[in-house]
Amino acid sequence: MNMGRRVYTEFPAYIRMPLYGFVGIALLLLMLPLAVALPISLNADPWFTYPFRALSLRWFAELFSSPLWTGAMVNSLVIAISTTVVATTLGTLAAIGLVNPRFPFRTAVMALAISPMIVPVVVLGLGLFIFFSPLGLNYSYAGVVIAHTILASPFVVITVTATLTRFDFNLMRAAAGLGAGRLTAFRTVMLPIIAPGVAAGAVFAFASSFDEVVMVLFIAGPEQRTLPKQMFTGLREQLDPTILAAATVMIVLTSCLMAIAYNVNKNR
Amino acid sequence: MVHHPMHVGMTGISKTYDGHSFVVRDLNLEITKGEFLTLLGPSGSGKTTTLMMLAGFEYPSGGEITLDGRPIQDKPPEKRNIGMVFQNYALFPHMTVAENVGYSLRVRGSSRQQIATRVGDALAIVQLSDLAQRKPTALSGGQQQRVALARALVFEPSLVLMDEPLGALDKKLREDLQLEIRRIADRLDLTVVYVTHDQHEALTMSDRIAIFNDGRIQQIGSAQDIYGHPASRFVAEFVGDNNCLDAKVVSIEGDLARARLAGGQEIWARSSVHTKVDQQATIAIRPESVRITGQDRAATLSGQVSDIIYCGDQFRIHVELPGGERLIAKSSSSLGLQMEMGSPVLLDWEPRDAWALDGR
Ligand SMILES: Nc1ncnc2c1ncn2[C@@H]1O[C@H](COP(=O)(O)OP(=O)(O)O)[C@@H](O)[C@H]1O
Ligand SMILES: [Mg+2]
Repeated sequence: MNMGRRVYTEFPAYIRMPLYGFVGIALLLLMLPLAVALPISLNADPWFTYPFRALSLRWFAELFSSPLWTGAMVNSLVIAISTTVVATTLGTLAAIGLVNPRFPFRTAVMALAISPMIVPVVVLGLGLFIFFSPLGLNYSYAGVVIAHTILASPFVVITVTATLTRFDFNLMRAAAGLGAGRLTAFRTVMLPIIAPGVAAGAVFAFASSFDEVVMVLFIAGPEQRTLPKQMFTGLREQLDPTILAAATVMIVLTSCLMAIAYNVNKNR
Repeated sequence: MVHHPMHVGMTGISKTYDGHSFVVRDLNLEITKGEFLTLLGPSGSGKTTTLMMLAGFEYPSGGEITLDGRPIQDKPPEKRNIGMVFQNYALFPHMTVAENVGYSLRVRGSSRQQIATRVGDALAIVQLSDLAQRKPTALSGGQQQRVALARALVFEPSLVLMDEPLGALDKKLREDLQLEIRRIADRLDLTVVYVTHDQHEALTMSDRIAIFNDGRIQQIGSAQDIYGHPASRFVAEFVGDNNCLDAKVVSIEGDLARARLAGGQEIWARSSVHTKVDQQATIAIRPESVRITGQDRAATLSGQVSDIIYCGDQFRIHVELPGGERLIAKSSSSLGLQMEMGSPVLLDWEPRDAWALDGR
């Protein structure tokens, strides 16, 4: 990593400047839509136009007082937290199994485990909808959590696998030799050491569930209306800047979690 | 108290990882209580695999392992009460030195106070009491190895296994720790199985040495046995320096054999049960047993000096024999200084210092 950076700064300016420019444009393209849209949540008028006549927090007040929006926020949190717990557990266990070179059909199973990241969500959503109906899981919290777990687990598998490749499995042997059963050894030795990877995976799992809308459109009923779904319906039914207030809250929340996960990983 | 002469037993143990090539073959080993046994052999000879089967991390493909007369191969490692020291230390990086050492007591549910006392004792034994609150990463290699040792001893295991524990340390530190480990083992009356590929380490530390090659024990015995009475050419060449000369046995008189070298000269050596007249044999003679004599007395061999190597406290004189073989003799500095390349020398030795071994 360091090597690469040092070599990079040694490039002559006529190569470096265009590269800097290219990176700058790419970042700009990513940020610009947000920079244009998010401030509208502070517009005192219910319009999506610049310039504003006055600034106000009324859309945030609306967001936190309207039962429609607060209900959606509670649903989103409940579903995202449940998904995080289930996906982190399953993803961590899968990663531990999959780093073992003796795991049968390891590459194939690994590919399968992360395939939800590649398969279009619409296809997964439709498939799950058909699969869930005889099981009665459509229009239920459990159904949504299962659907989100499928999407979120690959993030955990990837981050935990990355951490485990640096893990010295001799430590588990050392623990066993000292009298620790498998569970004790996992809890007292492996888990504390891979915790940063698990935490990073959990944050990604939370974020992927928290802003997910396609699965929710297929699986969730009115009871399970989440924040993204409320925004989605809001776009068609009563378009007002509350949607952007909600977006701002979501972005701030996930950014905070990402920052925490990043720092946990950096300080280890 | 009933005295068990045999503490650990391995009977007919074999191990294959892939189902057809055996890395340990028909291993039989008895270890008595309080013994310091070293497994010595080249890399890949099956030493670690043997240790792993004792510890319970590998399951034997055949045979039986007993501890105090009871078979243990179906017991998981955590139930065996065997201490293990790994080459890379395998200290828990997220725990302090004291927590590392106390781990075995904690998982056994000992009381806080008991843990503190015994961890304190164990750290005192390895002279690390001052560093109890450090993290392992803040310690030197030698200190980390001491922690690993304390951690393996603190729960009073019935057997301690060490797999090349000093392999990563430099020479001076290694020698200090060899003596220290041996001292601790004696003081606590530990039964130790120690793995190394360093013959000096094995000769310094062990009550008995088992020489491994190709998954088999080639010879087992005290350091003096192994060094003084090598049973095969492999052992003769692996432990210490040995001159190994191919020769044909001409006659056997009592326990001595007379053998003819390629160049036609005849030499004496101690015969073994395998020595047969008219068959090929390997004659092994240690450099320090070869005397360089000035005048032709009953000198056994003549040759030409082909190399003179200065080793600080002595010279190693390489002598080329008429048959093309090379023989190394050690000599004192004063004699070495008088030697010249290419000059003829006469060599002899006490016939009983040379060994006629299986020819190969
Ligand atoms: N887990 C394993 N799987 C397959 N082969 C192994 C394994 N461990 C060791 N071996 C093989 O077994 C042989 C003996 O290895 P080992 O017991 O480690 O020898 P030593 O400790 O004497 O160097 C080697 O050829 C090695 O490649
Ligand atoms: Mg080894």
